[in-house]
Amino acid sequence: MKLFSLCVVLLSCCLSSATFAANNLPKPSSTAQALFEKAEKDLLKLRVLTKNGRSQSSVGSAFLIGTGNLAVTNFHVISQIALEPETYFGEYKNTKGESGDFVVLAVDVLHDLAIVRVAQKGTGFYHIPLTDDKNQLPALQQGENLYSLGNPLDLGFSITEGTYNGLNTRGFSEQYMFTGPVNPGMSGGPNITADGELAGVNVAHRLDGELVSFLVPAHYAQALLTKTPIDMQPPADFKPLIGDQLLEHQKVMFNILLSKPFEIKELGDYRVPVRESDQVRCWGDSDDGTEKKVSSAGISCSMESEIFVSDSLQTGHISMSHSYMRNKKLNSWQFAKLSGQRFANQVYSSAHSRVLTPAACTENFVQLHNVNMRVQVCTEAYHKFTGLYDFTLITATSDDVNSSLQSMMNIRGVAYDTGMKLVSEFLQSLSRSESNQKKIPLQDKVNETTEETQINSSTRSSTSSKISANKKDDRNE
Amino acid sequence: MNKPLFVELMTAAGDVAQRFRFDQLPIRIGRAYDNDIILDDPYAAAHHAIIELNQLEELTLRDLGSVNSIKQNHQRDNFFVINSDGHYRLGHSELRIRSIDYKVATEKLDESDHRWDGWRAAIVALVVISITALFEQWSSDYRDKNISEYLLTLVGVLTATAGWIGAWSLVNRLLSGRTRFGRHALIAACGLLATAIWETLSSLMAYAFSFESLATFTAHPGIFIGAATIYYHLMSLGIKQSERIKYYVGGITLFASVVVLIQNYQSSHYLRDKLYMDVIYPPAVRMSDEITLEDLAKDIEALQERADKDRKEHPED
Repeated sequence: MKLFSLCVVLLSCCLSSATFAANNLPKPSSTAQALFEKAEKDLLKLRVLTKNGRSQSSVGSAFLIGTGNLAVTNFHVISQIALEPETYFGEYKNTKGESGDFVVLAVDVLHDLAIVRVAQKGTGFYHIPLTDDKNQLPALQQGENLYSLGNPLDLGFSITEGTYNGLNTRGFSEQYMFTGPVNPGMSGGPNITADGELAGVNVAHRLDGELVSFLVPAHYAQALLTKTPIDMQPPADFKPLIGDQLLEHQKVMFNILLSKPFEIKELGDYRVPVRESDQVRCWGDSDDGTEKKVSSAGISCSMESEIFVSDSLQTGHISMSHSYMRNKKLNSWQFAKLSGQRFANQVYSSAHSRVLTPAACTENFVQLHNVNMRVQVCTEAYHKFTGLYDFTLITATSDDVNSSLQSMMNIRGVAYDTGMKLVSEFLQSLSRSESNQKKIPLQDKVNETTEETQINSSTRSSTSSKISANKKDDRNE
Repeated sequence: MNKPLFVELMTAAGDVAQRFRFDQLPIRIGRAYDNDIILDDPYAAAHHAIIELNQLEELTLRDLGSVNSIKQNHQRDNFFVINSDGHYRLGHSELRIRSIDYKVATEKLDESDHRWDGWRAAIVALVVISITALFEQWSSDYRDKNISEYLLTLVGVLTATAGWIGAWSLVNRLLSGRTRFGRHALIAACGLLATAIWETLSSLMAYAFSFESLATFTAHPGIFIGAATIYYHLMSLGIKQSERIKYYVGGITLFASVVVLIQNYQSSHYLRDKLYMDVIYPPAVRMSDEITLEDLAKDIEALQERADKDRKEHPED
């Protein structure tokens, strides 16, 4: 969390110093200048306001498609209108300062896109061929210059220059990597090539990196536009629609995750399941406890992407972790107490959540393949989306005096049977290493474990990687 | 009149404040100085009442025309045949009238053990409190703690309990003139020991026999032990209406438990204090059988219905 806020602070510092130094900077390239002149006419600023008091709740960007009155933006910019239309409404403003209300017509939650209708027609600068054929869009080359437009931090319409750097494969839906500045408020703005062709839609940037930004590829906008007739009436309730999209997504996502069995890693005396792939990454750590009375090691894996539905609801995510502890100098009573302390406070109550139902849990002692465990499984349903559930599984071994393995798996936004299947596969994959039976004297074994677990410790530069959606939260206006 | 008679002036609490012996009747009672019993009570008449024999040789209490007359059991009258267990209210004064042959109740069995008092009890308490505190400290000693850390804990616990015991002793001193430090120390020590033993024993049982409720409902036994401790403290104060204390303490205990239940339900949707059993003990403690993965799968399957039941269209409301 500290890292997170540090990033934000640094970013705003840079921005303020940049304002002072602006006069000394070289003028933007002529390409950007020429592009902005044409592109700004169809550029919009979107604001989500509360009906009660008209206070601003979120700010983003959008751009008009062709010569019609439909504009493309990010779902996260207008999510509050889609989820709580009784509380929020939308207002747009163009670069000339003209404004009006907009209506949300269609959403694509997975790719973070939305189509809105405004009372203004485009000049035809941003054009997308309305077909299913994505080859009609420009092919991008790595290193190619791209230009992002939008309204960074609600300071005014801007254009930024950067380079295209291929696909980001860390998520389940593909995104382009754009090495250039994309700031909060530019979300939903267009990203174009030097020829003025639409490359993608600004969506996010990494807080722990420099200029690491992401675009929704133009072909997803193309697909959504193709499905949205120009005279379409907005649906009365987006929630079932969003629910269906989330269900569809979880099917795809967990099909990929379940397509092959868990990988098995050695952790101390145990063999533990992990899933390491492009989308789910694992980190390890170990502490041989030179100064302490126990040694410990751990692995934790987490998916690097999730789906933004609202500020309080990000879903479509899985994470798992294992933590192993070996007794060195404690007596068995103390060691058990310490294990209990680690096992405590891992599951929190969701009783006050507006998104999830209170946790329904079951706990028991379970006999697995060759290891006995204390197992607790909790599940929560989503109030607004039928058929989606969260699962939390925590386990602690209960059959060894001097070693303890505690595991956790967290699944968010999954169909019930898929969640159950993941839980049971995860449990089935937990076992004790057959070779390490209790023959070796404790002291020797401690050394052995230490060496073993050190293999699992990988270096990592940052403790966590966070992606921030480029939405400006500004409640002061 | 053949037998001596006793007129007793009672306190509001039901104790005898003053006792007068008379060998002759009648007995005059009132505020004026020519009475046999002079009442310093502005609500009593100058000549309020008279005790005499009637024609049936019964003892009677007769009003002499006072404004407030005489009350017994909230009933106002001018004339009473005297009941030796009755309290007669003249103005704000209460009287009890008994003759010398009144049959007193048999003596009570002395159940109080006075060995559990004084310096011996104080020393036992000190040892019990110290051992309990040190055991708790040792149980959670995951690093190499040195002796000074143990001593620091000991000083902290002893100071805190001394404050508690001192407060009770002070109240005792105020109420009955006796301090009874040793007894209060012993009661506090027993409370502390009972809490420690219950915590360990209950979680051991929970872990051994899969009685999860023992480990997740932790507040109520604590409240009960606390209440029992306070009850014994109160009983040691030497208050007369000790019968009622039982009900007061019981009522407050029940109220505290209900408050905890409501609080838990509001914060977690469950009545229990912990969401799940989080204690772990050495494997040797386990007694009951483990379930299979298939059984667990059935349990998990059953959760879906519970989760779905709690879904709401407007969770904000």
